[in-house]
Amino acid sequence: MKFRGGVGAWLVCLWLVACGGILVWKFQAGLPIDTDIQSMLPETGKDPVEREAMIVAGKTAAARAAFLISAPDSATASAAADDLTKRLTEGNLFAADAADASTTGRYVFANRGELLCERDPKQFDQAAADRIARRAMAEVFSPTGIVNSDLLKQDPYLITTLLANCLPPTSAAALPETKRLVSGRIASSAYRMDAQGKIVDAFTAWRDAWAPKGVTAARAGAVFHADAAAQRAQNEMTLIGTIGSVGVALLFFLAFLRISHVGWGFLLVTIGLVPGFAVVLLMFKTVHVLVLVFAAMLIGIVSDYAVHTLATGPALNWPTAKARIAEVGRPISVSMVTSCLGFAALAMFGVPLFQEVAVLSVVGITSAWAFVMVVLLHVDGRPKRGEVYRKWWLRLERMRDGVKLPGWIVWPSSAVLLGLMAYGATQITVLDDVRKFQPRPADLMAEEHQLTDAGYGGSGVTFLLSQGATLEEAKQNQEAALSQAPPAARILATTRFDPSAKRRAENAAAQSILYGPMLATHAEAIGLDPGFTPEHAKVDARPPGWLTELEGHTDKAVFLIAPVLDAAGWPGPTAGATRLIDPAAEYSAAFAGYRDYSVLALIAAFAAAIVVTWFVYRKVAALTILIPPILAAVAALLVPAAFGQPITFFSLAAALVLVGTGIDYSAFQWEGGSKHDDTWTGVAVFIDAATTLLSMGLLALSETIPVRSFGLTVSVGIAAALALSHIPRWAAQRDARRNPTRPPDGQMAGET
Amino acid sequence: MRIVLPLLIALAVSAPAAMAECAKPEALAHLSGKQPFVQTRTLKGMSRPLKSTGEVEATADSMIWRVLTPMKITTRISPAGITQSVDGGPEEKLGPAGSSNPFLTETGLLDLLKGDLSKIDTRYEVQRETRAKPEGWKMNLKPKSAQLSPYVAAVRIEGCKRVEAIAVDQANGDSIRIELTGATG
Repeated sequence: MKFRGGVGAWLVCLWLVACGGILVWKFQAGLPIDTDIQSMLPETGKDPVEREAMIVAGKTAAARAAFLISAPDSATASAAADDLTKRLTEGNLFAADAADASTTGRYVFANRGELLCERDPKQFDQAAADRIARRAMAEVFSPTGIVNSDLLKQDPYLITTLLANCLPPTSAAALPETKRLVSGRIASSAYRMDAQGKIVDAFTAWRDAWAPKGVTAARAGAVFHADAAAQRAQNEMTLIGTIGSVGVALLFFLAFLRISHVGWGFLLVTIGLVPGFAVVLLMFKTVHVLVLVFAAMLIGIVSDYAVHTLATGPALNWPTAKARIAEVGRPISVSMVTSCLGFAALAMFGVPLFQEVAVLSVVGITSAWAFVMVVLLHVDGRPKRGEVYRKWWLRLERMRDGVKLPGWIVWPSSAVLLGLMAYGATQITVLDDVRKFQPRPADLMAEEHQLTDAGYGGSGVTFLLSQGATLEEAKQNQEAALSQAPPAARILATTRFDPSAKRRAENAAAQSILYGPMLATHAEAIGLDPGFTPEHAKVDARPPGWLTELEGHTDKAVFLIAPVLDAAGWPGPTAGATRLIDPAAEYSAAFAGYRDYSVLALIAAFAAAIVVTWFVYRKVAALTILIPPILAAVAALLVPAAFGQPITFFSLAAALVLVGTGIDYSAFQWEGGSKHDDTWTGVAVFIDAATTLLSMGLLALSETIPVRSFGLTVSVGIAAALALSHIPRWAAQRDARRNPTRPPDGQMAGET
Repeated sequence: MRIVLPLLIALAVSAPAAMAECAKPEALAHLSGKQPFVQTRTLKGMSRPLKSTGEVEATADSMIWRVLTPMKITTRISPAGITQSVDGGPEEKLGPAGSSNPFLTETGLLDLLKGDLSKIDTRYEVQRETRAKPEGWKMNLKPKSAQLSPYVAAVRIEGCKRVEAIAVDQANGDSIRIELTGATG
């Protein structure tokens, strides 16, 4: 066998090697896998500030982690808490709130002259000033007073300690002496699997070390949910990948009786996946873990190309590469183009996850198509036992041809299917609520409740968004909104610690009461000279990290987010450039919008398919190629609805994929039907559908609703597309009879 | 710093059973009752010390510190946290509650409130001396906790049949001395 692939083959090989190199390079820098549920969510395109703020708020909320430690006694609880903090902070992966507290304290001390506990400086009157003075005296004369001479000389009213208590919105409940709360921020993304691994490993090692001493801990934080979701996705990926791979291998072997062809099938799948992931990682810094699950569908699509290509060997007695290209080149190319169009349509939704799936699929399918056309067709020569394989294939084709479903099966089955579709049409429900998309482990939820009961405020998913053309304007807007909030509302607002310049001036003016005539009296009462004036030592006034994280900007606006720990029934500001944002509600609304929009995308994909099909075949009858995918998509949406499955945006995304795969089967059946000597498309299409069901259909087993919804739709749709693909075959046969180009010989070509 | 002194007062208001000679400090048992005190806070660089007087009362699970002059302050310390009332006003929470408050946990106050002195060695380096005049004992404590040591340099306790005086030397040079003048009920 001599390889005659030419320059194209070498270019394809070079491309594959380069992509392999990219993957090695990307994986060397750490596992670039993202598990952020936000990546599954659409970009809320209506407002770039809101979109960016939701990302910032999401990251801030996700970075929070807390542990409630329970021990037999107080000393053990202290030691266990110290050890956990030490283990977590190693490698700067975790910044404990306790460490942040001293930075915050210094910052508040440096800014104390321009900060007030009162949200409105007008509320700071003489009575408030008198209360502050008496409170400072109480600190000095009380044995519990946090006071020393250095502090008093600079801050005679001890405003710093007052602010330290009134500015933060947290209100930890009393913990028994045998419990400790360790809380803080994860420095890296909580959704990076490598970061998750380090945090979870540190916690697990700590738990193993302290469990024998009777110490337990409850956890709270997105990192643990993300880790659980990643583990689940990995398990699903392994299950689906294994069953799919074994099934595909068996199908290939049963079809061709050759181990080498099983190898070709898997090589083609690898050739689809390697460039796909390489380009995804070049375009997006990470790949979402669910993309790995969706990647299973590439097995089904790409293996189809191997089936068709390799089938032309035994079926046509291994003709020349040119003859085989003439046989499969057009339908494979039509399939490749329509599949790519279907997947590319996924990218239109602005969902990062689907953009990755679209890139993976388009690059993977194109690479596999190129490999088939310029390499595989040229290397698959006639084997020594060629006649055995050829007879086996023709036997399979005869068996398939011999299957004639009687009318008493076809018509009642069709009636049942139509009945199910009609019933499903009356039972349609939709699911857009992102909070229901991923199952939350019961153990983690129970642990989170323990922390909530202990007074841990959590991360505040809902937030107050304030924006302005400048930071000063955004701050003023936030301050105006906060003045409307009820006193019981617990909001971690930037401007409480870092007010606008205008508010700083107002606060300083309000505080000036303290430094007027009453200062001398107060100074004397606390042991200072009557003529005392406060010292102003220079201190490090850098804002703490958590404060700067609550600020962001787009090209045209600056925004501040303020996590709301407890809205206390506040519906949010009534007007202005500040609003209360519930990201889950926003994303759910966006999904609902995209669900509607995806119907338009489906129509667009079919329109493109009509153009491509017409351009390639130039026959009205050839448009029957589009009937199976259309009907399959409708059945795929309505039949699950009849069984109570809701329609999601992901169902409609799957319907888009059905456009490509459905046309794939139809195009081959049309090609087969238009030739009176076809000996291979029937079996090949059956194997195509079986491999697709084994890969994409198994996604229906997923616990994650987007994946399950996708898999269920594809399963029903592929089965329908296979059954209906005979329509274009009949249409082609009818067309061939009306417009004969070759005399029928009544015998399959090459049959002996 | 908020808790160090109450911790020691918790120790101070404990008293031995009636004994003819000085009791060992470790033998002090939990006592309910009130003890008058005089507190003198000496702040570095200030011309005069600050004096206050009042009484301290220990109950089964809390301690109430009442300053009567020069102003009225009532501070209640319990496992649930610290509350304070100034000039007869409402009780307000001071600092974080319960075990969220490192000073409550690091000083071992909660153990001491229960009368458990057995763990004092785990939190402080303890040096014991004999007081010559008047006859009695002294304990010098140095905190082990890294959270406490930046604020408290040393603590000195002295007494005989009961704790008579406590002095806290702060890390910045300030000091507080509390003299307990004996139980009143």
